Amino acid sequence: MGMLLALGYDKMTNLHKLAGYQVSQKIKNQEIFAEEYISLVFERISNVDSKINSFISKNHESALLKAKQIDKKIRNNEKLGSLLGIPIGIKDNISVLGLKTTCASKMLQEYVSPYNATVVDRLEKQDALIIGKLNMDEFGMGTSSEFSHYGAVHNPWNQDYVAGGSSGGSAAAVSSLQIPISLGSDTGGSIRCPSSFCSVIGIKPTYGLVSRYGLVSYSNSLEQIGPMARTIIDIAMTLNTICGKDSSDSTSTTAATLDQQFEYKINTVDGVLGKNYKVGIIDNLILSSESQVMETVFKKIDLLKKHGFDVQKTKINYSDFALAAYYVIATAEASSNLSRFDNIRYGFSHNPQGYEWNSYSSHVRSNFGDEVKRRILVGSFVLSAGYYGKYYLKAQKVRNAIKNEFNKLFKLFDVLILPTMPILPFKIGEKGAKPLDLFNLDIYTILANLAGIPAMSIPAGFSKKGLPIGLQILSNEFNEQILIDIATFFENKDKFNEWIPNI
Amino acid sequence: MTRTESKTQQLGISLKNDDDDGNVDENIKIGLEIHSQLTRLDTKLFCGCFSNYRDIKPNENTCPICLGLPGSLPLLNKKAVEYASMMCISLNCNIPEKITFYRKNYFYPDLPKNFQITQYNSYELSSIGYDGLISYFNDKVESDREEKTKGKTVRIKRIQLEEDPGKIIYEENNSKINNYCLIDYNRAGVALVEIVTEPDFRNANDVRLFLNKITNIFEYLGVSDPNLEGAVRCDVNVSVKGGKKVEIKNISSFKDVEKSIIYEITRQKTLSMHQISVKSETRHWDEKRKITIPARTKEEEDEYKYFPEPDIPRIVLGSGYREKIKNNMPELPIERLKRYVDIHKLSNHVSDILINNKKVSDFYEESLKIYNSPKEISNWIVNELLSKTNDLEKNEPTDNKSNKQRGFISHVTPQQIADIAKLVEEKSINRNIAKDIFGKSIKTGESPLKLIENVEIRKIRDSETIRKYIGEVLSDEKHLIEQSSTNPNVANFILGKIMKKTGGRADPQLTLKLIRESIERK
Amino acid sequence: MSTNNNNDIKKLCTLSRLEIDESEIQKTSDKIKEIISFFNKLDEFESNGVQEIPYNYMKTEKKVDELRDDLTTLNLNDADGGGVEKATPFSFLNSKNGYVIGPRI
Repeated sequence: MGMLLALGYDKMTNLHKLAGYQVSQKIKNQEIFAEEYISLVFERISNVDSKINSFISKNHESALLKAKQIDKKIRNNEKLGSLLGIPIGIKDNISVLGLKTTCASKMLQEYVSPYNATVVDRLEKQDALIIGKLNMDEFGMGTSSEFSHYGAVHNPWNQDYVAGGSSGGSAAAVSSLQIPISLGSDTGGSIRCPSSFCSVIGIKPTYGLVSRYGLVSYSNSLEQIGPMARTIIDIAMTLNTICGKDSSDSTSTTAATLDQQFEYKINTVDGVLGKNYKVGIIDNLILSSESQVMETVFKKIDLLKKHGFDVQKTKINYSDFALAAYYVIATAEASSNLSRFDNIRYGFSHNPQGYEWNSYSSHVRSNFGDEVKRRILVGSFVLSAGYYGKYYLKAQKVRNAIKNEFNKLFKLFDVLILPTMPILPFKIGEKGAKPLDLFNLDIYTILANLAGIPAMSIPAGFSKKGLPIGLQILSNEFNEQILIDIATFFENKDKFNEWIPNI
Repeated sequence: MTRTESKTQQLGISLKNDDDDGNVDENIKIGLEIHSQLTRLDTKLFCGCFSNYRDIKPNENTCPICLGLPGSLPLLNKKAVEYASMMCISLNCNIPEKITFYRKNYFYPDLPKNFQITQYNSYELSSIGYDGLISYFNDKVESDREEKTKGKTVRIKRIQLEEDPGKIIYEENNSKINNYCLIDYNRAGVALVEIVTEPDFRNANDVRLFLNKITNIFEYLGVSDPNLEGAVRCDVNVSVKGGKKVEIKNISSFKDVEKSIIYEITRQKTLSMHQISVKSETRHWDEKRKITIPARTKEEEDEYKYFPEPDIPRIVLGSGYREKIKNNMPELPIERLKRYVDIHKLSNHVSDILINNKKVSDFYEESLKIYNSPKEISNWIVNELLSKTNDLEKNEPTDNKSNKQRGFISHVTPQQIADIAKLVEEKSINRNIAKDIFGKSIKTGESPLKLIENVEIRKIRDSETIRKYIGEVLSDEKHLIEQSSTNPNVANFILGKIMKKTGGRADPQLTLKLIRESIERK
Repeated sequence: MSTNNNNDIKKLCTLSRLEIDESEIQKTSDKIKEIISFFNKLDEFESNGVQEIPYNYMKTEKKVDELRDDLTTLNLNDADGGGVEKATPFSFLNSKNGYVIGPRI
């Protein structure tokens, strides 16, 4: 690598600490070559990921090839994309052409997607490099990234602890400085929970803002793809790239047409303060969280007050029904979505010859993990004859009530604040004996999914033992800019982008 | 197991306790579930693959969407909604302002997602059409219009839009000895409209009339070609008073629909006569043996776990949708009938024959464009062309309706019909000669105008030659001279003979004059 | 899910096409019952003020005019030009002469 001569050794070793936008700038300015940077990224992954287990598969050759093309583009003065040379990891339930999309399940361990998800197309069009596929809870069903056919993801801050889930690989890979940006998916907190546990920023956009085409469905009416990163600039840049109407997803937004694209900006702190955002504190929920979480969140609230934000207490009434409603909808939709995995058209190597149809499907489908099986069974139950009104329809009514409640709150406030998770990260293997123990962890995050509103988790601090704590901010639908503004404020005051685990 | 027990089991029945009143003839109820593919669409219901999957190599008409690959999402075809709406309007159904799609969940290897995207009205009014009513007639009373408008009616419960599954194929005919099945997903996702009627039919003949009527309507609408293999399928439910409803599936042709109904009525009546109650079940039509057999009843058959399809938003049609579609809809057979009678001044009988087959009716319309004489043109089509086609059919009996139409269309053009009509009307050609020329025209494909020119050029106007022909006729049939004094038609009869001998070339006026002269002279 | 025997869970397994080891049935059944009894909390929900129209659940709406045209050449991703268009031919798990091999029916 003769080109290394251009750079000092120190400069090269610290590249992995830089944010995506910073590296991209260096590549554009020809301070470094995309090719050498990507080689370093893969080197970092092979050094670090044995401790974290965040990657399921890597896209080594193709990413290097693409990096060379980018270097050539720069030399030839061609038009350059906004994510030039930035390596991005993709949760393994998002389809990338030619790569395995396993959803961390044995059922899909040999499945290679023949097409790109819309978000992947959009990233590649802006010259981002797809670096690999990230570990997760099987089909997104979990809050700890322990339920993976490929083993649990370890928390970069303390490897005995869970990384959170289900997008645990996406959060841990970013947190452990393997890659600057990743995509996750969030059905009931799957981006925000691991962002909180690993101390990175993660946003679940408004339902319909980002195309779901190519995202393997768990619960279609609740989930969204969103970016995870260490800096708010990287979040905004990535969101700008992947958001907007997509004609291949009928549920993608019609709120903006193509010529009226969403574009999020990074405002200055003074600019943010000048907007006089009204902040609502969801008091009843904050008070129900673990003491260290509660204290940390109140510290953040004090910081807001100190800088002149209009902060007032408020509450959410239906949150007790919300959790039940969420799991009714999620399991019902999941039981139907996962029906297609019958190992006939694709799946793992197995020949159906000699099997009778019914027994073949039951036999092969037993390769789902226990948590997935349970949710399929529960979902089948709530949809079975005679129960539709009692469960599914009732859940939709709760969902309506929650949406109405948020509509009222957003007449009073621009932004709502609560913790991302009610507890601190826990040890691998510690929870899971009782399904409800895990369900209860989602109590703060599912609200945004039920209401379809955007929600972001940002690093808020640490427990006495050094485990990360996240702050959750919510705004009304299609008001992602407010979340970015509030995050900009905290990033500027706390410098949380400099909180890096020792790994 | 006793013989009776095994028999009752085979028939899918259980012993009945209470008495039957016996009078079941007027208490037969038959309902239909008709599945019609929207074959005139270019693409499938939810993706860009071809709607015409026929003659494509297995699984080459597929994409991530119709294969239900992980992450793919359905994209509803706008035209499918329009076509289904046209069907609803033609069957006098209501169309709601908003429609919704539901998932019907069941496992089967021909279903790529193991659920079917369809519509479902139990939780809300979601289907594209509901509460329709359509009348159909019995052709035995066709000549009397009064009688016809009274007609018979059937209520349409609902019309829904859904996707067709793929196809399962066996290498061995007997599925039991197959170790595996072969699946072709080319058909998977093709747009299908399901029409569910109320059980308003009383006999198999009415069902046939109704099926002919609605498939004819679909052809007029240009939404479906019922002649394509598998384009229109029909499930039947039959109940005889005192018994439960029995569904018959797996019927592959309209002829078998009739046969299966007749079989099932007989079966159920026989059970009733023996005081055996008919239980609610699904039976399959055994095409080879022409009987219905109990389908393997699966407990989970009722467990379709319906819920709203989350990947397709509720579709807002709006209040003006029905009118908009209606205004752009092709003319329906009933509208054409009215036009033929009221404006073209055709008889009900002739109009009815014309509209009962869209290809015939279109042929008539095309001919009119060339020569605008409804009476003459319809006469040639109905009395000459169709009767000739029917004769053809008698000689080559076939089940296939489409052959008949193909024969009709490929042999004759509207130009030929228009020309012949024009000849008769404008050149006052003898009808017999015209028929002759028409016959030749059909055989050779040559224009009647050309043929008549030939006749004109080669016309025999030479008296000597004609007298020679007259002499030949009279010497062959001497009795004609005797008859001529009493029977005034003899002259015409002789003319006919001469025309035949000369291939219509003899000048009719001159010949007739000469015939009279020779008869009188004798 | 009210009875004490495990018939319900077995029926659900059949309905969902899942096999569960005999030894795991009791444990699975207990967990599922725990979840269902948690769902029964919804019985207490009074939707005061919330519209009672049964189908008034959250569902996005789309105008019929915005639906896909009946065109075989799909440009699914607008400006992106990706999606189905770029799809590579799919190779099935088990196939014969182009057909997908399935279990016997």
